[in-house]
Amino acid sequence: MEKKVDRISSLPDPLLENVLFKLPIKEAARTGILSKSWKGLWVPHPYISLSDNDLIDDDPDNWSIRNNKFIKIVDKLLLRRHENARIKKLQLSCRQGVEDAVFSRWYGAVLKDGLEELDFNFGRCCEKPLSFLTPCSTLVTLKLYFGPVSGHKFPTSFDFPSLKNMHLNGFMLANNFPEQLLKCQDLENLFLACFMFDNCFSTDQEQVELDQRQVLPNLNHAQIGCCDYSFRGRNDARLFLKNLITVLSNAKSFDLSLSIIEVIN
Amino acid sequence: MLIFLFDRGQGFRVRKIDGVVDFEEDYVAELRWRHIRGGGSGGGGVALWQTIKHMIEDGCADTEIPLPNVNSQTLSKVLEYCKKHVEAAADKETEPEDDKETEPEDDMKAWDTDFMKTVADMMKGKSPEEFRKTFNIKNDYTPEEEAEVKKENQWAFE
Repeated sequence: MEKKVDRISSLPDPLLENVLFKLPIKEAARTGILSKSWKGLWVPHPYISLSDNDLIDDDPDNWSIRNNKFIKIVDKLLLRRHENARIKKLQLSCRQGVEDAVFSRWYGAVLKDGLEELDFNFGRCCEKPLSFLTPCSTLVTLKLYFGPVSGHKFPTSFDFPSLKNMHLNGFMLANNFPEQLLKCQDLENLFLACFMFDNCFSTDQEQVELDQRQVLPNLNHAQIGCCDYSFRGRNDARLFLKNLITVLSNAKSFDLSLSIIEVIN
Repeated sequence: MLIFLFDRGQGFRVRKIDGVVDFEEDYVAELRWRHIRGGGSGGGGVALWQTIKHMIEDGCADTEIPLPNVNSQTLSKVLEYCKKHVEAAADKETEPEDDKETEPEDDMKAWDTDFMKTVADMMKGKSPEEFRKTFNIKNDYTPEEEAEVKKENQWAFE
């Protein structure tokens, strides 16, 4: 009879780590209790995906308990890692919002070279979650859902040269947004929903109509959902939308909400 | 490096052909873990390669290395691996300036990825107990230590 040999634990740690990184982080984290040599293997896992739905409610009547638990876990995953163990993907989903200070430390911890995907889905708003959106040269996917009425101001300047996918839901966009978008020359997919527009960002700056040739060359799919009612009858809003459509006009498929067409006409 | 493996009726044997075997640590590691897959449930992949390595290092393998208890499935994987690496090395030597020299490496990478995915799939959805059983992992924690480690990452068990 064959002797039962633990072959897998004799593999070099870097190889085992690579295998563990192919598991969802929750499953990988469970391997810590297998034996002493497995304890810390999963810790540098670069693909973090966590939803508050994954957690058990210690008290179903008090949502803040679960929310605090969620924040604590994310803090631990993001902040207690070795400098070299960069995060490649961070996907967080929570019904509640979190405070500015929490967001700022999360952004600070992950928005570094090496990050490829940032995907936040928070049901309720927090005050200024994006003031910390620093440039990141490796970011490929940015998905931010902060609820339809959150009205967060998207940064007036952003720099993600490798960005291919951008999904924004519930944002207030500055009127230079279309021009900023042109900096993401590799952009392939853009999804904007429930966005608002505010001209107050650059009152000192004259808004100009973009040249028709200023387009995103690699755009595959663009989808612009309905915009705010306050767009109607405003010239600045019309110019903003016109510029946005110009920039996106090279898309292979383009879904435009009827409400936007009404505003432009 | 070239290693030749052949059947002697009672298990397989391995023979060094060119006399110089450079068992670089990473290389052996790679070889070893590739073997787990080839070994499947009945193979002796890791043990096999550790045996070969030790015997070569100890100098007792100038001619042949006996390899008892190795099934043909494992061995065919070893051969496949050696062949690929020899080909990769030969390509590099003959066409050092060619852009295509990275291709065998890409091929290796693809194989690695495939291997890691296979092992990860074997791990998926298993409770720690099932996991230990599948891979024969010995739990060397005391019950208190295990409870402590579990508590530290309680969220992963919810």
